[in-house]
Formats: sequence, C-alpha cells, structure tokens
Amino acid sequence: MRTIEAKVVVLGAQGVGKTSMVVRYVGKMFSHHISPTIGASFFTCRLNVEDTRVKLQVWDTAGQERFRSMAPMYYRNANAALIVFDITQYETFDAMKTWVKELQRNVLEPMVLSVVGNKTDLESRRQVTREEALQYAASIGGNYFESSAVNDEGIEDVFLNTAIGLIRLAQDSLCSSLRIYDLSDPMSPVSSVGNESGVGQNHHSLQMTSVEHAEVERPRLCC
Amino acid sequence: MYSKKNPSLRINEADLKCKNGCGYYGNEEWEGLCSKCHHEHLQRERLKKTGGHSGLHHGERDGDKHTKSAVGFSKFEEKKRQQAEKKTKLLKLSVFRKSSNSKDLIRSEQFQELYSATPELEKLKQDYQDLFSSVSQSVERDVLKSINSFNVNVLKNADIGTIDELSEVVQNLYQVFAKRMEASIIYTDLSQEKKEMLLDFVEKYVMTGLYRILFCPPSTTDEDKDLSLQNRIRQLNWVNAQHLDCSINETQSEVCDLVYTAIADIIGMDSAKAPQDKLSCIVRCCRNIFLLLQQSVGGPASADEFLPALIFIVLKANPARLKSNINYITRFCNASRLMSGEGGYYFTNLCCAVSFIENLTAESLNMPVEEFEQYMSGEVIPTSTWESALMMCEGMHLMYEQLATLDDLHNRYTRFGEGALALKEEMQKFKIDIADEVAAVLARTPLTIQPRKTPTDIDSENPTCESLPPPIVPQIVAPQIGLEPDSVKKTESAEDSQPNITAAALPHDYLSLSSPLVFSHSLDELTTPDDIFGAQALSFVQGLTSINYDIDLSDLSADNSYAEDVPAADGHKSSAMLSLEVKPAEELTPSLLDNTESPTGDLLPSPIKPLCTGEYQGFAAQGWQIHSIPCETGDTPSLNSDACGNVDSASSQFQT
Ligand SMILES: Nc1nc2c(ncn2[C@@H]2O[C@H](COP(=O)(O)OP(=O)(O)OP(=O)(O)O)[C@@H](O)[C@H]2O)c(=O)[nH]1
Ligand SMILES: [Mg+2]
Repeated sequence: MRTIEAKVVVLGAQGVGKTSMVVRYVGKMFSHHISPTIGASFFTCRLNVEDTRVKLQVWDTAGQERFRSMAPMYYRNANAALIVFDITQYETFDAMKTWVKELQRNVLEPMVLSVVGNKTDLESRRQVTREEALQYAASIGGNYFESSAVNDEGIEDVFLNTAIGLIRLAQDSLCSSLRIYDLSDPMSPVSSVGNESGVGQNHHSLQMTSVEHAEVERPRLCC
Repeated sequence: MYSKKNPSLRINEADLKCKNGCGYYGNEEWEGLCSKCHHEHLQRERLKKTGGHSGLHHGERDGDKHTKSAVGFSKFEEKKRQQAEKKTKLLKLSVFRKSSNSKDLIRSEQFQELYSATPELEKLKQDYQDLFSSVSQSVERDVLKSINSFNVNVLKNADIGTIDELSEVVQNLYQVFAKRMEASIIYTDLSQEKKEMLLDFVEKYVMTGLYRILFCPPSTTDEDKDLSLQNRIRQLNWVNAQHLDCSINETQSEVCDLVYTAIADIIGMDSAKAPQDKLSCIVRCCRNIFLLLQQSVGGPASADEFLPALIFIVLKANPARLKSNINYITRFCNASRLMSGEGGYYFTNLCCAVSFIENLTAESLNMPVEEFEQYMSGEVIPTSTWESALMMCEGMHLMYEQLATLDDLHNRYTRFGEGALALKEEMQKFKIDIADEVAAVLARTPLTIQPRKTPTDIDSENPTCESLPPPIVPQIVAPQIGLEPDSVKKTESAEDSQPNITAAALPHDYLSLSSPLVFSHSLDELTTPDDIFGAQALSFVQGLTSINYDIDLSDLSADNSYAEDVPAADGHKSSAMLSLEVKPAEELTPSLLDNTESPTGDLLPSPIKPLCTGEYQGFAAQGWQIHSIPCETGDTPSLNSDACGNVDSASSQFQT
C-alpha cells in the first residue's frame, strides 16, 4: 500500500479559530478512545483515500502576534497549509492573503494550499462573501472551505481534501520533501515514525474514522 | 484569552519585513532577511569568503550583552576562530592536500583516537544488540562497513570544509545509507521498522564518535552565541509565568514536579551526544510540559499555551550551550527526522523559544517599558517565592555544572603538574646522560691530538695562507746555496719555481684539508711536477720537511699576522687567482699559463726579482724555465708582494 507522509501547517490571523478547529478535529478523532490527549498543537492522523494512506502531521502555530516572526520556522518544509480566516472580520481575510504571499515566496517546493473561512455559525455578521473567497482561492490554485468550529461543520472536509491534494502532489512527484513509501507491508511506515506515543496511541481510532471519510469522499475524487 | 490583548503592543509589521526592504517577511534565522535575499546574501558571502571572514556578525543586540570580562574573552575567541579558519584555508590549497599519505595516517590516528575508549559507543552497541541479533551477519557487516566509510568521508571533509558543507556531507551520507538499504539485496528481508532502526544506529554511532569535532567547532561563533544567550537568560530570570501568559498552576505540587522534570530534561540535552538523543531530551521535556499544561488547563493544551510554557522552562533552566546544541542538531540530525514528526515539531518550538528570548522586549511581555527596564537593571525583583525558588534552581544547576567544570579543571591541573614533573625528571636524566656521554667520548678520545689541530685551524681560516709555503722554500735554499753549489743550482731553480708555488698555490686545498704533515706532502707534490729537479729536488724537499717541522709554528704565526695585515679585498682577489692557477700548476702547461696571465704579468716579476736575482743570476742554464714561470705567476701584485713579504719575513725568521 502506498503511504504518503506530509506536514500540514495551520496558519492565520489571531483569533480566527485555528486552535479551535484543530482541537475540534483532534477531539473528535480522539474522543472515541480512552487514551488522554495531552496536546493539540501537534498531532498525526492517518486518512485512507482509496488505496493510498495519507499520514498528516498537523502543526498548529501559536497565533499571538509576538510569535509572528517565528512563523517561517513552522512552515519550513511544509507540504500543505491550512490558511484560516474569520468570515466575520474582513481584515483577517486580508491577513490570510499576506500569509499566502509569504508562503509562496518562502516555500520553494509546491504545496497544497487550503483556504478556510471559519465561524460560519455567525452567518449574520459575515463580511467576506463566499464568492470572493472562492475566487481568491482559485486564483492561487487552492481550495476553499467554510467551517464552524463551534458547530463542528466542514472541518473534516478540510483535512480530507488536503489529503487528496497531497496524493495529487505525490502523483506529480514534484515534491521531494513529501515522503512516499511503496510498501507491501502496510503497517511498517506507521511504526517507523517511532516515538509519538502521546498522540500516536490514537492511530487506530483515527484510522477507523478515516476509512469512513474515505468512503464518503470517494465520489469527490472523480469530479 | 487572546482577544484581550492590547493591539498597540503588537509587533510592528515593518519589523517583520525583510531587512533588504523587498517587502516580504524576513526571518530571524536568516538574519532578518527573506528567503530569497538570504540566499543571495549567502552566495555573496561565499564569494567573499576568500577575503575577510563572515562569521563575525554577532547582531548588535549581542554587543551590549557582553560584560567587560567577556570582551577580553571574545577577543581570544576571535583569534581562535581566525586560526581555525586560517588552517581551513591553508588546507584548502591544493598544495597541502597533496600529501595524502601522511594525511591518511593522521586521519586513521584521529579515527583511532575518536573511537577508542568511549563508553557511550559500547553502550550504544549494547542497546542495539537485540536488533543486530535479529538481522543476518551480512547486514551487520554491511552496516559496519557503511559506518566506516561514513567516518572516513566525514573526517576527510572535516579539515577542509566549513561546518555547513560538512553538514551537507553528513546529510548526504544519511540519504546514501537509506538508499543503500532500499537498493541492496542484503536488506530486502528487513522490515521498514528495522531499516529505520539501522539508520538510527548508524547516525548515533557515527555522531557519538565524531562528536568532539562536530559539536561547537572552533571555526564557528557557536560558543560566543552560547555565552551571550546564557547571559541574556540570566538577565531575564525575573520573567515569570504570568508575564508570558502561560497557565502553569504552581500551587499544584504535581505541576511543580513536572516543571522540575522538564527543566532537568532540557538540561540533560547537553550531555547527550548523538543528535537524536539530544532530540529525545527535547521531546521528553516538551511532553512533560504538555502534561503539566493539561493539569493546569484541564484539557489538551494548544500551541498557544505550549510555546509560552516552553519559553518559561527554557528561561528557568538556562541550559548549557543551548545554541551550540540547537545548531548541532540542525546540522547533523537526520533531516528526515527533524523535518517531521513529534521531534521536529518540538525542536521547531524550541528554536522559536530561543528566538523569542533573544528578541524579548517589554512589548513581547505586554509590560510597560519602564517596568521592564527596572527588572532588567535589577532594581525590582520578583516577589513570588516559587519564582525565587526557580531562580535558585537555575543557580543550583549552574553551580553544579561549574563544580563539575572545576573538578575537571582540577584533574587536568593535577595531570599537568604530574606531566611537568615527569618532564623535569626526564630533562635531568637527559642532562646526566649527556654529561656521561660527553665524559665517555672525552675519555675515548685522547687529548694529544689537540696540538695537531691548532695549526690546521689557523691555516684553513686564512685565504692568504697559501702564501706560506714559499717563505720556507727560499729560506732553506739560501743557506744551502752557501753550503754547496750543486744544491744552489737546485735551490735556485727551486726559487724559480717558487713564484710558481706561491701563485699556483696548490697547497690551497691540501692545506685546508690536512694537517701540517700533509703540508710537506703538498710540497712534495709541488716539486715533483718540476721535472727538471727530479729526484734531487724531491729528496731535498723531503729533507726540508724535517727542518720545516721545527719552524712550522713560528712560521705560521708570522704568516697569520701577515694575513691580518692584508686587506680583505686583496685576500679575496688572491685566493680567487690562486684557485685559478691550481690547474695550471698541476698540468704544467706553460703556454696556457702565459696566455692567461700575461696582462698582469708585467707587474709580477719585479717583486720577485729583487729577492731572487742576486742569487740565481748565474744559472741561466735553466732560463727557459725561469722565463715562463714569472710570467705565469705575475698576475697578482698584491699576492706577490705578500709572497715576497712572506719570503722576507720567513727568511728573516729563519735566519734569526
Ligand atoms: N462563533 C465561533 N467562534 C469561534 C469559532 N472558532 C473559534 N471561535 C472562537 O474564536 C476565538 C479564538 O479561537 P482560537 O481557536 O483560539 O483562535 P486561534 O486562531 O487559534 O487564535 P490564535 O492562536 O490566538 O491565533 C475563541 O474564543 C473561539 O471560541 C467558530 O467556528 N465560531
Ligand atoms: Mg491558536
């Protein structure tokens, strides 16, 4: 089975809900399992899309402005980026554009860009229209998603589509930092990553849910 | 909790921009430049490298951190670095590379030195024993072979490359080994897991062995940076969890314990040798931080809580050689490990924490500048007892570390003292040995030889001593004339040949070479070529030698005094001339001599003649001989006058 290992970094202005999204996703993945989650800033999850296993290493970043200058350290060698903005605040949309520019300039390898408009539960206070965001995402060759961390809507889509994008990237084989295994033994790359016991213990539950995803999302691949 | 943040305290956007002003974001790691500008900058630096060294840019902010004593030290550091660079440069010249043989020798010695007697390596082998017992012999052999070639490769580059080039070499070698495991049939049976373990083993083994030359090498500014960071952290020891907005519940003893464990973990990083082991120290530390945050927050902690907590731990721990360790891991940890996974994430966060600490201002703590200054200057100190306990904790760690250093220094001092004593003893022994040997040599060599030596020395020292032989010859001749006419004939002709002797100066070589005994020999040789006299002359001269012996010393001393009188230039000239004539004298080809010497020949006869004419006037029978000789010898008036003078003095001495 083919396995792709990729680093996904979550970026965006302060307070747009990056951490909430990640925590929500991780929480859901982990909630089925007894083992406690000790951290939500870094986690690995595996998604099975058709016959490919995608292993995502999701890096949340500290959003406080005082850590802004350290961002390049986080997105170095990233294969995918989730760039989040708050649909109720237009300036976060602008900030998102700045992030995209910075990434395009500083990350030399091709990467999967996903633009996420968060807080759809606050539809009444929306400042960024879906059309505008879609248009922008298309202009940078990325996908656009809307989500609500509070209502837990659209978050899984974001991660799944990122995985699909990574598979496409791997097919083009343009990306050298993307680690691709072609293995007869499907379990081996899992253990190869070693000491992620903290979050790693939850791999199995993740795997189970991810199979679900894969089935649900399969039609999308075709379109 | 973030929304309450005062927007005015945010970092100015301009500060984050690339220093080149290209409009893109800069990065601390890239000296405030964006990736493109930094890349260009690096390339420019690389070109410049032949000139000044580029490693001297400790940022301005480092400058004021240096205390006075550190300034002196930094000078020393600078020098050390320059020397290291010089060495590298020298070695880069192909001339120095050529002697590959001797270098290989050194390398193998270095190899021996690095890999001998390291308990860590033994332990490492033990740790991986299970792994190796589960793989085939051929795999084990191949791994060891790979390690060997790895080492050779690194050591080969260690002298000539910069640390970054070396890092590239090492990273390349990791990849080569990984590919080898994929490609070679030896490894086909192994699971991916085991391959990864083998890769880890190779990395750990090689890096543990090479640690001494790869960690904080003198060619880098790592050590300077360590010191300034350590000072910086010490200045910031008043910063507490509240300042950093991190939620550490210090009232819970479990949380406190976890804080101490995390501090111990990060401090322990310095004593690990393999980059991966260092990395796992960081991982352990960070996991403990997550655990303690979970206790404090009551749920999984996010990046927003984790990073401040890590900064707090780093501030309180003040780990030794933090910068060196980070750079070492960055350079030599297998990049595929560092770029991804938990270790990579925590390591990145540690880098961020360090960068944050280095750039920490009142703003980043959401604190009025005045208050910040007060804390920094030590006017105000934190009141919390736990904080002070943590401050002490850092102090205690520091104390232990310094005690260890002191111990080490003491040991070294003792060893040095012993070494010095041993050396002293050896020297004394050597002195005695030499004295004994000298005494033995003296005993073996009789002193009686010495009187013989003295005349030789004097002879050889004077270029003009060639003028010595003639005085003897004529001197003896004169009395003989009075004795018997036959001998007068001979002597007269001997006198004729006398200028020949003086000028020809064949004794020149012989004299300097041999003792007075040979002197007479040379005289023999002198006379022998003069066929005319034949055996008679020979016997006469030989008879003369016996006389000669008695007068030798006084003669020589007289000669000596003359030599001193002769101007140096003349001396040189004469000697030059003399050497010229050595050949003619031996060959005795008058025609040749005549030709060469004729220009100056006119000057010569006069000095000789006054002495000789009176005596040999009547022996025209041999005139053909006489004629040719004066011409040939007449080249050097100074010499001739000398010779004549010598003859005079010698004769006068002889007569007296
Ligand atoms: N209504 C609504 N609020 C949200 C949603 N997602 C996040 N929030 C709120 O937005 C605030 C900021 O959320 P975080 O997840 O901390 O945002 P962040 O992007 O991680 O912030 P930084 O790490 O500070 O950059 C919190 O108060 C969340 O409750 C959402 O989907 N809907
Ligand atoms: Mg966050």
